[in-house]
Amino acid sequence: MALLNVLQTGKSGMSTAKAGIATAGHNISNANTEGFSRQRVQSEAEVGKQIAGQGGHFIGEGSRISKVERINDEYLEKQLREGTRDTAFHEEKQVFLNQVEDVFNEMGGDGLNRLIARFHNDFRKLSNDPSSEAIRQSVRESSQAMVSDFRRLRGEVESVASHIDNRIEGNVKELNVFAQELAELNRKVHQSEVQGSDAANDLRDRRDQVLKKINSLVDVTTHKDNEGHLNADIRGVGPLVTGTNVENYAIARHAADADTGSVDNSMQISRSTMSSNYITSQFQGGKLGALIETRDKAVNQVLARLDELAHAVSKSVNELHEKGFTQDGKTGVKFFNEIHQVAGAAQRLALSSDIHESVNNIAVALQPDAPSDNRNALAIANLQNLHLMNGGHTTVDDFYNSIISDVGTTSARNRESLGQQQSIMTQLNRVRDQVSGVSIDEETTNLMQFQHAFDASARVIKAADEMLDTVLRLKG
Amino acid sequence: MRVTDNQNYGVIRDSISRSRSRMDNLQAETATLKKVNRPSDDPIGAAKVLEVRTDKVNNEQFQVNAKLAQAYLDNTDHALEDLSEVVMRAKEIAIGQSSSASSTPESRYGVSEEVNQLFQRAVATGNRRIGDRFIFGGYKTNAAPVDADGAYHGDDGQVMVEIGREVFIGANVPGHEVFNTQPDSSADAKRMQQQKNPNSKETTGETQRRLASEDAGPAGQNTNLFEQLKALRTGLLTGDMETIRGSMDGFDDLLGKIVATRAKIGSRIQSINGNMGALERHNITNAQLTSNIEDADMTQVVSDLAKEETVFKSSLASSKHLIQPTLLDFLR
Repeated sequence: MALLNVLQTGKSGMSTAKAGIATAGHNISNANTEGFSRQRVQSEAEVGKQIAGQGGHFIGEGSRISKVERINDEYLEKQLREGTRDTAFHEEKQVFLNQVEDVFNEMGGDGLNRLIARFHNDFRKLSNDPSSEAIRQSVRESSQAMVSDFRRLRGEVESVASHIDNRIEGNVKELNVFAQELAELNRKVHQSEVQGSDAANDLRDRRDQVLKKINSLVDVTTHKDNEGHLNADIRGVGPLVTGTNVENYAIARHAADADTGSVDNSMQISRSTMSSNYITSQFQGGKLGALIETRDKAVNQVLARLDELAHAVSKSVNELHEKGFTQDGKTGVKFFNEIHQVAGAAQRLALSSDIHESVNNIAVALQPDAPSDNRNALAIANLQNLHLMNGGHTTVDDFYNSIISDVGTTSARNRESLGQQQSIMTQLNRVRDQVSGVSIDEETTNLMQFQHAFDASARVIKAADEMLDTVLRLKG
Repeated sequence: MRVTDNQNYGVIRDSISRSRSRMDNLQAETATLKKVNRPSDDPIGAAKVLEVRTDKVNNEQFQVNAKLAQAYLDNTDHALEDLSEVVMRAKEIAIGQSSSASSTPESRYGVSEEVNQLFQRAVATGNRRIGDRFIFGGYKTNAAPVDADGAYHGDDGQVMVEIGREVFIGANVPGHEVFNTQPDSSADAKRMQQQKNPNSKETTGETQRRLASEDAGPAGQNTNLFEQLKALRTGLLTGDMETIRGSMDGFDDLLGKIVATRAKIGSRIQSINGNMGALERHNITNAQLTSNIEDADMTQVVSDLAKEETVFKSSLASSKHLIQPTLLDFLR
């Protein structure tokens, strides 16, 4: 046993303490880094050599760092990923449901509901004084206002859909970037952990973080392979990242698809390798799932119902109007232009050219040359009370109101889920902070602890030095 | 339990933002005085509010309609009153000239001129207008329904006015129903039947049929007001005592008819008034309903706001204690 070994022992103590101080510093400096897991230096005693001639005892030779451990609960991380996914889903959905709701917000007073009522009432007014030019003008005015509002509503809902399309495009691009990042981190982690240890703490934190971001975009399942790679599969779609390989996804505009209920010319997703095979509807969860669901279900349904309503209004009014006689005794005149198909009806609804030309062409009478015959005007006004929609069960007013209450219900339900999800996330984040978060007090204590250890180890070296000095002086 | 710094800050952030978002909602309620500010605040209530609003717009129109119908019916009633005076005077003349004791060619000639005047008055009454609409013309209100000869040129159009949801009331009485005791067997009516538009029943449906059946009296000899006056005049000029006496029954029938028509108008006006009352009550109930659904209970909102303010202040105050000095503060 040599004195020189004592020097070594002191040195090992100093480096262990230094590592502890460095780690405490690292923890403190990352106290506010998102997704950071605090680290701990694990040290172990260096097994000394058995020294002959001294009773076969082992004398310790200091310490060494066995591992810098990352304090992290994988199960908790998984829950957090799922929570992030669900929160992102509801958050994204809420954004667009709010927009749809804003389009239909009639609580302030003005809106299609009022304009439809005014349309019917103006026919009632006209029935009181069928030959009045002024009232005929007002009928045309209010009809035009109703038609314009149908178009406005459809246009605004469509613009919500196109806004969603832009978001889908952005999110798919982001997904590709994150997938690339994940593959890259897989490579780096593998490279730095050749020995098969879980040593690349900060890389792993970053990988978890990227995975969380991917999860906020779409529902992803993960599993580790033998190489230590984290593989990610998009649920219901297929692999996203396998080891260091990435599956890219492409986007393109595509015509309407009745099967998935997608709107015409909307953004569709496919694998880059099979660009004509659209798999949009298979994406679930996360922002992408929310966007696709909102666009193809909620928004599309609103559009379809607006079209249905516009079509029914124009058809039923035209049917009656054509039977009537105009002020000049003409019959068979259309009030609205003819709409052949239901899809897009709210967009195409317009007053007929005859009505545009002259308000005399409003057919109020049911017989020619009868200026006070108001039967047709009454009949048109009475459409308000007829169950024209929903297979003869609902009036026009009720049908429109039900669009609003459905939009409201969907939005309210989602808002509730979002609230619950946010509470869950708050709780989960709190638990994660409890386990992996950095406590400044704790780290300060560690800092002091290791500082003292460092000082003491230095003392060991100093002692050894003095001892060596003593020995050397013996000879001199 | 291990408590980290981020946890503390998280709790502070969370409680402050929750409290602020609740205050924001309450603030919106105080600003609009409404608790339903978006459809999603109360989807079912929102639909109901819209329904009631449409109701209100309709009711306003119905009230206007009812007043209009009433004006028309009042005017028709005045015209009928005038006609009944004409008929009564004609009957008096017929009675006066019916016995040879009191009737001489000179007296007959003298009163024949009065009958002529009565005839003119009847024609003028039959052509009475409101604005530029002839009230006795049926649907043909743009031209005088009675010509100088007493022939009817209007039709039997019944102008219906909606005075309540799907409640229609006739706002006019077609002239031929006033001028004839048995309009269905009159020459005018027969002509009318042929002209009748086949679509007429589809529009006002039930109401139209009901009113039509109301008018159908017992079948019998028709008496036309103008024909009757003309006959009386001719009888007076020719000294045909038989005709003069016979016309008395005719005038009685006509008077009866006019009285019956006026009674009908009276009952229509009554039902309009009844309906107006119903509309007003309906409006009040609707106002209460919407108020219940969408109006914020201000006492509640204000007290909630005060409560929330306390919560907010206390969460701010507790933050002060949560952000504790760290160990570092003691190591200086």
